[in-house]
Amino acid sequence: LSPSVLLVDDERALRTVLRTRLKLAGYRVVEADTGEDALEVLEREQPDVVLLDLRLPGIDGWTVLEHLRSAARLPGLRVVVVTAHGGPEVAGRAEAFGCRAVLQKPFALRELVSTLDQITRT
Amino acid sequence: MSKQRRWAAAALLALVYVLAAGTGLRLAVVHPAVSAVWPASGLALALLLLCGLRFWPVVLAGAALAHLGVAGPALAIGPAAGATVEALVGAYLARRFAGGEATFDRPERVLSFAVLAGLIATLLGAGITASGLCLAGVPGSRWAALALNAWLGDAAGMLVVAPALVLWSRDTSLRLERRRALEAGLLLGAMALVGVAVFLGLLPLARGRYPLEFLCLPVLVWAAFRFGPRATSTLTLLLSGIAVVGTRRGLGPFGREEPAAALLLLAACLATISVMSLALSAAVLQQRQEHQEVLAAQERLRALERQRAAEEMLARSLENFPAMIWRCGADGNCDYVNRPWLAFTGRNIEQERGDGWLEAVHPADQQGSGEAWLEAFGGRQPFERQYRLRRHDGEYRWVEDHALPVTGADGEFAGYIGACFDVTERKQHEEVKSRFIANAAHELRTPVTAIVALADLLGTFRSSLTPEQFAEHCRLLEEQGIRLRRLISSLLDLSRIEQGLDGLERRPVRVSWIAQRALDAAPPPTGASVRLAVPDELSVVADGLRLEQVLVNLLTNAWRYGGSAVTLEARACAEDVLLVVGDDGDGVAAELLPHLFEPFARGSGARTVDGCGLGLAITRGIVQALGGAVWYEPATPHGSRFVVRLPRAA
Repeated sequence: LSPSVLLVDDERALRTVLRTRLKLAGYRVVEADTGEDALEVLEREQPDVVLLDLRLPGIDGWTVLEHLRSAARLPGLRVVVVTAHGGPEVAGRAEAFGCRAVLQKPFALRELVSTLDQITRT
Repeated sequence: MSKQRRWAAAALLALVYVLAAGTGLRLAVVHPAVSAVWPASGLALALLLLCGLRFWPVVLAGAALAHLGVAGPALAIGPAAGATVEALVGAYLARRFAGGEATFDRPERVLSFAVLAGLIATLLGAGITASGLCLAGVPGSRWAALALNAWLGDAAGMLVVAPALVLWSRDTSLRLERRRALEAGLLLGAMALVGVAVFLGLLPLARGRYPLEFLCLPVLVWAAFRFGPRATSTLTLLLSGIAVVGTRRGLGPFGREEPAAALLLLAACLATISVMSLALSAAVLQQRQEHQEVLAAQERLRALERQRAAEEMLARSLENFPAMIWRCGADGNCDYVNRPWLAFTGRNIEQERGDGWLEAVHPADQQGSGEAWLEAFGGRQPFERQYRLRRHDGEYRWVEDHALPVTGADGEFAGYIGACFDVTERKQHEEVKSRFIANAAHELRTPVTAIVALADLLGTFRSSLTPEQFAEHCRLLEEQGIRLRRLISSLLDLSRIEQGLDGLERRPVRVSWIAQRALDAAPPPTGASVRLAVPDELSVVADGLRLEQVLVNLLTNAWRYGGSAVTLEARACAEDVLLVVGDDGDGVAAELLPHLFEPFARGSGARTVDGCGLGLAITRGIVQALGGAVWYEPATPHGSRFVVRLPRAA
C-alpha cells in the first residue's frame, strides 16, 4: 500500500507542484488549504505524514499542532512543518510538539521527498 | 619685620639716635642737657613702635651716651631716664590705643597719637628729665623752664620725625609713573622753596618777620590730597629741618624772638602743622580707600547680578526645553521636573518629588526600570532606559530616558539630570517597518518557493509528466513569475509614493470620467453589480492617473473581499469632494482595523484570494500626497465604505 501524505498549504500553485512530485514518488496525496480544513481532514483520515505550513489563513500551523496535541494525536502523528522563518526557536518549538522535521522555504523537491521517505519508512 | 632686619634697624636707629641727640644738644639754649629741638625722641618712638618695646635699652644707652658727652654722668641720668620712659610709654600707648604702625592711616588715630604720644608721654618724660636734672644739682627754680623745653622739644620730635620713619618703614617703594614723578618733583621743589622763602628769609616779606608760616599749608594740603601720609610726613620733616636752621640763625617768623622762645614757638608750630597735615592726609586716604571699597562692592554686586541673570536664563531654558527634563539630588530623590514633564503627566511638582514620579510609570516597567536606575545610580553611571509613562489622558506612552550624573561647584557628586522623550510613535514606526520587512520577505518567498519547486519538477521529471501536466505546470510557473513581478512593482510603487511622488500633477479632474475609466479597468466580475452615483459636473484637484489607480484599488478590493453589490458615489462637501466605494459584504474584521492601511495587512480570508496586500497602503500614500485623506467606515446594515476626501476644483 502506498503511503499517504496530507499537504496543508494555502498556496494553490505550490500544492499543485508538490502533489505532482509526491505522486511521482508513490504517495497518495490529500490536501487542505487552511488549518481548519486540515483538522477536519484529520478527523476522517489517518495520513502517514502531514506536511504542515506554519503560516496559514485563519488558525495558523502552531494552533493546528496545539489542537492535535490536545486531541492526543501527537506525537503519534508524523508531522513535518514548513516555514519561511527558519531558526532555532522554530526548530525547538516544533520538536516540543513532536514534529519529525522542519523544512525551510524555499526547499528543493528532492530534499522534501527524501525527508518524507525517511519518515514514512520508520 | 624679620628678626635680623629688626636688629639691623635697631642698630641703625641707635646710631642715628646718638647723632640726632648730639645735634639737638648743640642747639640747647636753656641748659646744655635740654633742647627744644629734639628729633631723637621721634627716633626712639619709631624704634620701639617698629621693633618692639623690648628695645628700650637701645634708647637708654643712646640717650645716656649722647648726654654723657655733654654734661657728665650725674646730669645724664635724668634726661636718659626721661627719654627712655617717654619712648616706652608713647610706644605702648600708641600700640594699645592708636593702631600702632597703622596709626597714620586714619585721622582719628592720628589725633589719638598726638594726644597719647605727643602730650601724655612727653609730659611724663619732660617731668622726669627736669626732675633728674634738679636732683643732680640744677637749681629747682629752673624746673619749670627745663620741663617746658624738654616737653615741647620732645613732642615736636615725636610728631614730626616718628610718622615719617614709621610710614617709610611700612612702604619703601618709590616707583611712580612719569607724570606722577614729575608732580612729586614739583611738590618737593615747592616745599623746599616755601621753606627756604619763609624760614630762611629769602622772601622780601619774610625779612619783615611776618607770621608767614601758614604758607606751608597749601603745599602740605597738596601732598595730602595727591600723595598721601608718607609724602606729607616727609615734606613736614624737610620743612622742619629748614625751619630749625633758619630760626637758629634768627631768620623767619620766629627769628626776632630771643633764641629760647623762638625754638619753643617753632617746636609748637611744627608739631601743630604736622598733626594737622597728617590728620588731613589720613582722612583723604581713608576716603579714597572707602571709595575703592565701594567701587569693589559695586563691581561684586554687578557680577552677582550678572550671575543671577545667567542662572535665571538657564532655569528658564530648562523649564521650557522641548523635552521632559528631570533632576535628582545626591540622595536620588527627584527635586525638579520641568514644564513639559508636568504637561505630559498632568500632575504637579509636589506629586513628582522624591519618588512620586514612579507612580506614573507603568506597573510592569516599575521593577525593571527601578533596578536599572539603582544600578546606574550606585555606580554613578549614565542611565538610559525605555519605559511606559502614564500621560495626563491616562494613556501609557513609551518614553526614552537619558540621564547623566552631575557634580556640584565643589566637584562632588550632586545628583542626576535626565531628559525623557516620547518615543511611542517612533516605536510604532519601527514595529510597522519590521512587520513590513517580515511580510515583504514572506510575500516574496512564497512565489519563489513555488517557482523553485516547479522548475525542479519540470527539469527533472519532464519525461514522467503527461503533456497536460507539463502544460499546467508551465502555466503555473508563468503565473508565479507574473505574481512576483506584480509584487515587485507594487513594492517599488509604494516606495516611490512614500518618498513623496515626484511629478505628481495637481489639476482639475472630472470625477465621473475617472470613475468610468476605473470601472473599465476593474469591471464587476460575474454575478456582481455596481451602482455609479457621480454628479457629472463634479471635479477634484488631483493627478488623473493616480486617482484612477486609487479607485481601481478600492474597486478591486470590493470585488475580492466585499459583497456583490458595490456602489461608487461622489458628492461635494464644503471645500472638498468625498468619493465613496461601498459594498454589502461582511465589512472589515475588527482585529484588522488598526493596521488596515499598513502594507501587507490582509484579512484572515484573504490568503485564498489574489493580491499581495499593498493596495490600501498605496492608496493611502497617493491620497495623502494629493493633500487628501482616506478612511474606512462600516456600512449599515453591513458592508464596508472606503471614503476618499480630495480638494474640490472650482
